[in-house]
Amino acid sequence: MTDKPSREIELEKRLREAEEILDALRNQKVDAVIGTNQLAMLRLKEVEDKLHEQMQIADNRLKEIETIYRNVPVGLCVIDRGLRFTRVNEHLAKMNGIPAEEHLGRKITEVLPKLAQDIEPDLRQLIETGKPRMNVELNGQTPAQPGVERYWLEHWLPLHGEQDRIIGINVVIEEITERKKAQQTQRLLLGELNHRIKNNIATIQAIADQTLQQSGSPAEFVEGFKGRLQILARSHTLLTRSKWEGAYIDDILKEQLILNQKTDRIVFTGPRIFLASQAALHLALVLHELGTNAGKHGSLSVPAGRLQINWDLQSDYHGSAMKLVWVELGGPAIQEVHKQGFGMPLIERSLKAVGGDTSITFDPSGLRCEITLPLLDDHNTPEKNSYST
Amino acid sequence: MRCKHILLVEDDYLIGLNIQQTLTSAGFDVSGPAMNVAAGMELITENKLDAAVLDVNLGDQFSEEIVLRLMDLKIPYLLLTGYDRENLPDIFAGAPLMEKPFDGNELISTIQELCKQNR
Repeated sequence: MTDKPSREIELEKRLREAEEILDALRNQKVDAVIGTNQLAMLRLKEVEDKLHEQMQIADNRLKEIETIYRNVPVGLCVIDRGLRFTRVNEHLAKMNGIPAEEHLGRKITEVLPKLAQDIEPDLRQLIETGKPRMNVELNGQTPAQPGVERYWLEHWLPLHGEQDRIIGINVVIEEITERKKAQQTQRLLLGELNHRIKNNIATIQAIADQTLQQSGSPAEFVEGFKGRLQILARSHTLLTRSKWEGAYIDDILKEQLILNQKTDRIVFTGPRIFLASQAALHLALVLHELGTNAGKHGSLSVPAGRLQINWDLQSDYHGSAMKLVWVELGGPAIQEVHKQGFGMPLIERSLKAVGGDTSITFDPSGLRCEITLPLLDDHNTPEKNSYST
Repeated sequence: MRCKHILLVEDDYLIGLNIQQTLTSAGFDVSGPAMNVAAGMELITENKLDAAVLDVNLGDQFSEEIVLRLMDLKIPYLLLTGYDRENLPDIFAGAPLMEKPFDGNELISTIQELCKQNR
């Protein structure tokens, strides 16, 4: 007994007959004359084969499409004329933070009230006009990440049914939040870079003006300007290495040409302290002025003169700070005229912008400069290595 | 309206010194340079100002509090900054702006123009 429908049984019977005829043909057991009935049977078999083949192709295509629909890393959904979800892929379900089956049969405004409200009129229009809309940018929040503003790029394509009637919309959704963020970051960085460049040019402008005012001759101007420009450039290189987070005090000192001599006249000792970029930049300029003055008029201008630079970490209820003491010993008596000029006010005042404090005294033994710089970051912990030369 | 007493807010010592000298040599009286918001606010309280020249980015703070106070007092101000307009915080939108590096003569004539408009 079989429960196959009679049509199928009939079909199978005919196929068997057709196969027998084919076998007979192959074995050349059949006469040259073939009856019309047998010919018809042959044709039937051909048609059956073709049909079978076509169905196999269609079935494979469908499987391919299903696989793409499930696995492609973009959100896909179909909504009907009533703007109800009729199909939602896993990726979109995840993006929305709502299981796929909870979308089905519900209006888009029920599932995602805020987001859908904005696009509802446009979707209705699409159903009326049949005009596809590509690259629609949307932003908002979904239950997947409450409180997080996200961005999507959507394509809306009309779905045509019989007689070209529009039966719904095929929606393709790509999340572009990361791309948007990257674009915003890039814009911010470019703005910041532009700001920094212009500020640097303004600083160079100021250095040129100030150097010019205290220069007696073009040669003197060039020397002073070049030195200051150089320390600015070296400090930038140093800071760029840390992506502009800052620099260590001993590295800043090593960038100073005059202090970088192999001599026991210059001694510097202190722990490795990290300074934020603006503080580092200003301190580098101050140290340059101090070094230049020491070389021209101070202790480094005579063979017997010495220079000691000591620094340490200080902590009190205000937070931590670096205290640096610059002591010149065995130099010539400092002339009154060298106590002024561009370098001195710069040394005394330029660290104020970064909350620092500087005081200069002219002891009989030489210039003494005390610098206090607040440390606003947590780069400096007691267990950091100490540094000395 | 008088155009004599100028508030200067600039956190970079060198640039501040340069602006100060430019203004002083053109005959202005300069209060500042104030290097942070608190110092700037103090100078506003202590002085009778005719105009102000402000840097926007003062290290870890922006000068918007100063801008708001100046607007209250109807004191004209000029932003002198390395930022171009589109990268400025919204509060500064529409404010008169001069980009760094500045030209001394342009700075002076712009301040005089601001005082005139404020009449």
